[in-house]
Amino acid sequence: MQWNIRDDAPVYAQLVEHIKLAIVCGEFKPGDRLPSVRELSAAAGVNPNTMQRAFAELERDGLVLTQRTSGRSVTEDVGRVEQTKRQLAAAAIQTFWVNMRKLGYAQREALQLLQQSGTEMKEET
Amino acid sequence: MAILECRGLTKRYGAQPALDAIDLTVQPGGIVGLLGPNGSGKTTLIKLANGLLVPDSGEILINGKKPGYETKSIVSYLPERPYFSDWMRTEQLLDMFEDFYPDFDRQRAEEMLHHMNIQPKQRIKEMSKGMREKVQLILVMSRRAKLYLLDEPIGGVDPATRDYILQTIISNYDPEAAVIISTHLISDVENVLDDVIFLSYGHILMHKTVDEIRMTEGKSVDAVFREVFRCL
Amino acid sequence: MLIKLMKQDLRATGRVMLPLYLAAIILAALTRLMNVFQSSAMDSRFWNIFSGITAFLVGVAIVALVIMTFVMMVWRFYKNYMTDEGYLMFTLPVRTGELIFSKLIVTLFWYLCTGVVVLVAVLILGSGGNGSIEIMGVGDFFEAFSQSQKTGAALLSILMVLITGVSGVLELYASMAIGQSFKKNKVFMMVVFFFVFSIATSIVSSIFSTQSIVGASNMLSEAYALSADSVYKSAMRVLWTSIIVQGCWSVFYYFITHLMLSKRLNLQ
Repeated sequence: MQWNIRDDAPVYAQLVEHIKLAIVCGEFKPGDRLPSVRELSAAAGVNPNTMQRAFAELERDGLVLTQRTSGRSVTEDVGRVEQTKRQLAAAAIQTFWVNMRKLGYAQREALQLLQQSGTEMKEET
Repeated sequence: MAILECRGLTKRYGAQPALDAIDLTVQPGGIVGLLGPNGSGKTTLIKLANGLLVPDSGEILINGKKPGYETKSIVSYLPERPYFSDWMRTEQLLDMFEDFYPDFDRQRAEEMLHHMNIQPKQRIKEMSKGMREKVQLILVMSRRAKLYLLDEPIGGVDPATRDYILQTIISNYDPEAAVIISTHLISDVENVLDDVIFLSYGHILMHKTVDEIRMTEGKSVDAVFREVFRCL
Repeated sequence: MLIKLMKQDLRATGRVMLPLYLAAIILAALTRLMNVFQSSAMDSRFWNIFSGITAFLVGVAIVALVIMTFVMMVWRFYKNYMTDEGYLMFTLPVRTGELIFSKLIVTLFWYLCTGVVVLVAVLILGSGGNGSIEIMGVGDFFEAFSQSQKTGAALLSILMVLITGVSGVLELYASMAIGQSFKKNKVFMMVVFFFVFSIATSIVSSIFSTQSIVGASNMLSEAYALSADSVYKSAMRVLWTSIIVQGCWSVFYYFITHLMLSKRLNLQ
């Protein structure tokens, strides 16, 4: 996993995003045991307390579970993972609309462009 | 109890105070960046905490006690310059640390030295400046101390070593210990830090958490630092 | 912890002192060998000059050894405590008293060793042949004393030499400890305080020693005959006085050094 920490947002929020993405992409599969906070923070080069905080948020979201004996693991609830995937997709789409509006496109024009780009991508593959 | 506490701490070298009535509290479990340009009082603060200097007024407490015999066994100090006698060999330094510090983990130090390709028989005077700094850091980080005071630990090392040093600090993390890192290379360390303290001409300009700064300013600590110190 | 500190100090100083001792002994042995050659060879002028030179060299070497011992011990205290090495020494979990005693004991140890080496060198030079040197001339002085008086005087003399050494070393430490506490011109202040202390010490010591010698000579003149007993008593009185005076100086200098290193440390 590549940890690219940007300058413009709180580190813990970026860590939450990274781990969510890793779970959604299947890098960490449902039910998998997660590396320890110490290992992950060393790999990411971030403060262990910040990593801890990111995990606390993921636990609140129900994506990550803490067992007393075996540390942390990804939830086995596939529906929960799917829901997170949707949320991330919704956020990506939201960003798309915000950017298009900034560029001055109306909704219909933007949709057209999106469709066009979709067919081009299909032809390439 | 706070691991480090300063109340009205003042130290002068000449007429100009190096530290001017500093109030500061650091709790265990944090990695704190002591940031400021050269001459802002970072080294002075660290030396006062080690008892190498005595305050002109105010006080500094380590775990509730003035720097002295009791505090020295719980503080692990990396000075700005290497302090070893140059005729000594690496293994003699290990012997020495093992002799004097009950919390010294020799095995850990040997592993790290091995990782850094430093031979036990090698003498300090045969080493490059960067290598001496590595040896010193390895010895200091191999103690299980309650307070680590690291004065410019990444100042003169190459990027690979810098990453190794930061990894060492992270993997050495102990919720009951605090680490204070003084540096002016902020972008390299800021992701590792909980809190940052901005020092300027012996005053504390800012004492906040890294995420607090990023959240309110929408910028990295490094960018904020550059702005703050450009205006001065 | 004192033992561990002394181990470090012995290691650091031994690597200089031991080769010096070896060199001095070898030089003395070589000179002795020269003399043997000379006595067996004919009395040529060349040999005379040559052995004269080597004997002179041994003399210089012995003086140099004594000076080097002194310089090494001052340097060790300065380098180990007053320079960057002090960052390590003053952050070790040891007490200030242990830091002072470690240096003091190791210094006295090397003084003693230097004494022994000088004696050995002289014995080698004078051993056998016709040129044996009478080094025990001092023995004549004690001739008149009874056996127990001899032992008493000898022990007291040793004690006096020892305590004079201790106060001398501590005087140097105190000067350095005060000098380092200044913000500027630290080394200069060390030298200044050394001179101040030296003058103070010699003034006070001379007052006491004149008094004790005057007292002793009064005692002698009161005694009708110059008996061995009265000589002994007055000698003991002089010895005791200087032991007490030097002891007081030692305590004084120790406390100054301790105070400056524990409460006024200033390693900038």
